[in-house]
Amino acid sequence: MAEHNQTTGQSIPQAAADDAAAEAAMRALFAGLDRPPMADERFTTAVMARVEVQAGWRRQIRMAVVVGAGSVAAALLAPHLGGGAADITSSFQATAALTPGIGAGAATLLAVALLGAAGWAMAERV
Amino acid sequence: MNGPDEALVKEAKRGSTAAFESLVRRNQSLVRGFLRRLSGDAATAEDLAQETFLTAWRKLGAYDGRGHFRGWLCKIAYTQFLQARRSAKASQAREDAVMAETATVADERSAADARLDLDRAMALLSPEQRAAIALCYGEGMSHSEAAEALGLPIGTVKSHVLRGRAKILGQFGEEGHPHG
Repeated sequence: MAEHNQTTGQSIPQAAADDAAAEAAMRALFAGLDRPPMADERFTTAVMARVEVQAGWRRQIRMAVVVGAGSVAAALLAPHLGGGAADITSSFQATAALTPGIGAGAATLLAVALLGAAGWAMAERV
Repeated sequence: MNGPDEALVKEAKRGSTAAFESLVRRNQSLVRGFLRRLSGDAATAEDLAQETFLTAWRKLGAYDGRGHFRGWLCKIAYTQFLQARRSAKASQAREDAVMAETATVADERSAADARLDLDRAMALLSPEQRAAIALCYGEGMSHSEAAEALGLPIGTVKSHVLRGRAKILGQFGEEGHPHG
């Protein structure tokens, strides 16, 4: 005698057969459906146009942050860099008659240029 | 991370739009098909699919690679669908109209009619049942993959599938077409 499902009262083989039939019916229903094509370039192009706009904004924001941070860092470090540069160039000052002010100014400009270039390089990577 | 999407995801995380484009190309049919079954409307599904990929691009850094990428995408798609459903009262009105139409459907048979019939039957399901049915029968996912995509326990997904299946087959009846 076949065992019975306690919930439905059906015999277990009958329940399994019903389940298989229902499963087959569902698969047949969904098998006949139209599906979006696997390669739809129109859709991909539409999505990527919007992604490129977002990526462009993201790049600009990151670049602005990096350049801004670089500028602040340069402004904060300028006196120290200037002093260091003045020390380094002190040997030249004697012969080239450079003033400490010119040495500090050149070092500051160099630091800003380097940080700016680093900022551009990082922004281009992101 | 699993599958051939892995390398593309890594590249896209570094900011490569070309890699992300490949991911869109590889997964667009899945996402659009899922949303098509879920929303019952091709135009709505297209809009939601675009939003899904845009959200995926924005949140790619949050994808930790522990599950399938396609499951992660379907989770975003499902969230997009639920948000759109909540915010658009017109959507509910459309579903009501579809349900009312179900009661008066003409008994004409063709492939297109069969699709519309299934859409009508799907519209009678709860969003969770619809999503589970769409993933398991429409996209061929296993119960565990669907559970991962929907963020639900596997037992809950199985229950949604069984109840949704019973409702759909009940609508189609023995003749293979819906009745009101």
